[in-house]
Amino acid sequence: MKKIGVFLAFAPEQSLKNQGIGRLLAFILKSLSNQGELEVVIACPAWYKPYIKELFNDNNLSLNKIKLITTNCVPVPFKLKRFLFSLSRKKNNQEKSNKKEKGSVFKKKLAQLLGFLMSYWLTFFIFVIVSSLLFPFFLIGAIPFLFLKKLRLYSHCYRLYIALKQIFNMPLSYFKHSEFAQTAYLQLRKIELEKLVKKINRKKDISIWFVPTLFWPEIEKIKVKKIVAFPDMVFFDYPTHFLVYPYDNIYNTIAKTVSVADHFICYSENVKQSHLQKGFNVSAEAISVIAHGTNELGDYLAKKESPEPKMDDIHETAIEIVKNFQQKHLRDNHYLFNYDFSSMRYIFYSSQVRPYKNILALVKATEVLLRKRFLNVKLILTCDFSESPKLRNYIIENRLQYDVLSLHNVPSKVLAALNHLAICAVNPTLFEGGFPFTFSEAYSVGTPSIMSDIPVTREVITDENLRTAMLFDPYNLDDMIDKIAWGIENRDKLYEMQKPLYDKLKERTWDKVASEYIQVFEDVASNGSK
Amino acid sequence: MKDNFVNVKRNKKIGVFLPIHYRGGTLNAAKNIAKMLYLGSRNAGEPVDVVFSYVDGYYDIQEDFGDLLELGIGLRSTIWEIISEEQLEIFKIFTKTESPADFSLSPKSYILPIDGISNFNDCDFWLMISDRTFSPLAPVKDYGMIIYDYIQRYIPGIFDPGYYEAGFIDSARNAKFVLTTTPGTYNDITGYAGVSQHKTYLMPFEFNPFYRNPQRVALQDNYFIWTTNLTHHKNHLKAIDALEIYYGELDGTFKVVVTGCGTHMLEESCTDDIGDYPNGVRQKIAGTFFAKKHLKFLGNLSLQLYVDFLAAAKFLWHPTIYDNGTYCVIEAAYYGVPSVSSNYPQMKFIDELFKLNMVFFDSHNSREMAMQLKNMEQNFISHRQKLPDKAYLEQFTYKKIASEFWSLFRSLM
Repeated sequence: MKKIGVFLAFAPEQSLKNQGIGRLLAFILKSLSNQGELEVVIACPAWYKPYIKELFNDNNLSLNKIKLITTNCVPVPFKLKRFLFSLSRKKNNQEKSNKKEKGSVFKKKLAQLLGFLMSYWLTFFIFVIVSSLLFPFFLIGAIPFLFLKKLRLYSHCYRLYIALKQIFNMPLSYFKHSEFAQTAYLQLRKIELEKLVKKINRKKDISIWFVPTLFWPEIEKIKVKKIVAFPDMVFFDYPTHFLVYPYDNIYNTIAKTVSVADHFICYSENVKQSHLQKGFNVSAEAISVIAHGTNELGDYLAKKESPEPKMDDIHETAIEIVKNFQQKHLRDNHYLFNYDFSSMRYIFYSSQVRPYKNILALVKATEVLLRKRFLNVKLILTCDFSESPKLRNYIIENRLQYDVLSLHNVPSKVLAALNHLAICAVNPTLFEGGFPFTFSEAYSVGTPSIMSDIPVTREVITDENLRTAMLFDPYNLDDMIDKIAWGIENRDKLYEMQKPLYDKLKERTWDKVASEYIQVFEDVASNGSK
Repeated sequence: MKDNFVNVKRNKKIGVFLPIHYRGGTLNAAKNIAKMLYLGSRNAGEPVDVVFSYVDGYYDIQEDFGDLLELGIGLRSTIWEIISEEQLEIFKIFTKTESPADFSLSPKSYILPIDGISNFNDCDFWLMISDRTFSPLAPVKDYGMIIYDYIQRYIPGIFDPGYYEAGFIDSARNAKFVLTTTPGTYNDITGYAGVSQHKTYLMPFEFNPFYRNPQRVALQDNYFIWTTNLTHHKNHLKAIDALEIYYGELDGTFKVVVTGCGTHMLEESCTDDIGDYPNGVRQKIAGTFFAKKHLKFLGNLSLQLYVDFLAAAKFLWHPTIYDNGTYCVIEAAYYGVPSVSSNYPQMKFIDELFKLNMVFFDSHNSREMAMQLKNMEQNFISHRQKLPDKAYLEQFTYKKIASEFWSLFRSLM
């Protein structure tokens, strides 16, 4: 049986569960493992094992068809943090629920005791005498405390305790902008990945390793051929967005990975020519363009007993999914917890915050659609606003936080439900490495899309009428507003117009994509590249 | 005698609440709701008693509520008291009820109307006029709500950016039903406040003429009337820009008579501190070259004087950005005065419903606004001829639609 290795060196706590790359990886792995004569072996640091399981569960994949190679154990600092974090989480939850109750019960008991003591003369006098005798000892005990308080040692110790507690409670991603933390982590990672690579090199029966991102130059030491996925190099197109730390380091890391890879897979001709060939001087023969398959979400909304679900049933399921999500995960959200989602009219964009995703423009467009064109429409985003202070400040300063909503880290079935319930999906990105997933994600659950007119969408959408209806100039706010308004007011018509496009994209199944990946793996294994 | 006591039948009693000391249009609307319940229920042979709650300390009973008393509607002066979660728990123990309410987060406090009698516990149902409850209404009685607008969705300056009107929204979401008068506000109730569309309804839109005969006014010049106040959403800044263009570039000849609460303080000569936004408006007016020479500020007029100036105007100008629509365009039509208005859904609805044939402009576009003013200046006579007659407008009075309103209310109560 042929074996293919997949190298995953994501950082601890870097969950792929609700990310585009996670879904892409899941599709590829699923299809690869469905190829009868092929065995997939995943190599990852031990700290990432739980997240592999999480990714597989979220995408209904079975781990039975995959073999795992990991380092022997999780490094001590991460183990300790995980342990202390889980402790403090448990304690906080219990504290919150019991604190108030304990406090009031204690007060009640104390009051009852005092009442009892005061009610009998004898017990009253005994209480007074004992209190008087104990009072000097209390004074003696209080002196060091007061002294410490005077020296402010007490408050310093307390502050240190609080700081340590906060650190243990913080996710590791909070440290990503700290140069000190990053340097320490990279050194640790280097050592762990060297151990992993040694294990990989002992597996003589695997002749090809697939590396799905550009951030692990440690693959240099893998002795067999390495095929690296090259989604894009957006720094070339939008350099001014990335002039701060850590992007310079990221670029260097990517450049190093490119220099040690044997072959590349990218998702569009545009990236092949502009980024790899022109940007990194990679020869055309070392690059294969394999477009994505479609990302379908329909299965999440279909009832098991109904193979051909009706739109009403899908709608009901979607509402149910969102209601459950509200009950479980939005309990702390004042506004959304008991908002009736079935009444909400919104446009939807599923994306992380990245400088080139053009999210702020979309927010401004929504503001105009709502407040000047009176279209009664909200915007739901799946990004976390806290990752972009500029975005967050704009939303708050213009009091848009009740019409521009962030629902981030949602599981796939909630994503499916949100796509279905939207009036239309909008993708305003300035750049993508391949045709955006958002189109098929939305269409597969009954929702049309409006998208930006960029090279990768033009590559796929060739019909002029369709381009006119669904594509807008992402640099032109008025054009974006007009197209979205048209999409909102002509939802059914737009959906009908987009059917041929969706049918064309649907022909490209992930099994087809996987077979193209395998073909590339086989070609490189036999011929090599570079 | 025992049998008589047991068999005494009492009418159902409905409490109608105005939780804020409104005056003007909202006060009139609230009183008309009470009247429609009273009259409509009697028209249907199902008389209900109506009790009207008003905020203590702001009204003159005879002047402000004499019409309600005359009809037979009870009045109760009310203080809105804050109660805690613990107090609500005690209420639940007494009444053996579970709270039907579903609050976003467990509120720390609720509000309750206190009338010094039974605290409206003698009512079978409550009807809140407006959602302005700064804490959620305590879920001690089934209640409905009438909501007129969510202007804050469109005019961010109305509230502080970080302020969340939890009380307003929770009260609306926990009402048994929510009524409103326009489709635009219906969309805001379901879209912004997140109230289920299954319990949100459009109610009949009532209009009551003043029934006053206009007298001659001292002003000789041709003028149009601008009925406004000092709030953000009235769009003064764009309106003033429009006036500069109207007079400076388009040779506008009509004066502008400005009426409404507080508007006399927009005169340059007034030095009172009237708040950041109105101070800014006054400053802008003072800085104009043309507009200030043509603006006449009359402030809040008595009803008769308002009718006099309204009827003598060549047209009425309504440059507001957004609200639930304004009665003043209908009042103007009643006196044969056409209107030119900002184009937003609620005004389009009023235009269609009352057949006013208004002229519209984009409230964000000063130039377009100015051009429509010029259009009205040149064509007000032909626009006047397109107005509906008084008989048509009188079919919307509260007396005429009371039965329709009662029928809707009864089905929901």
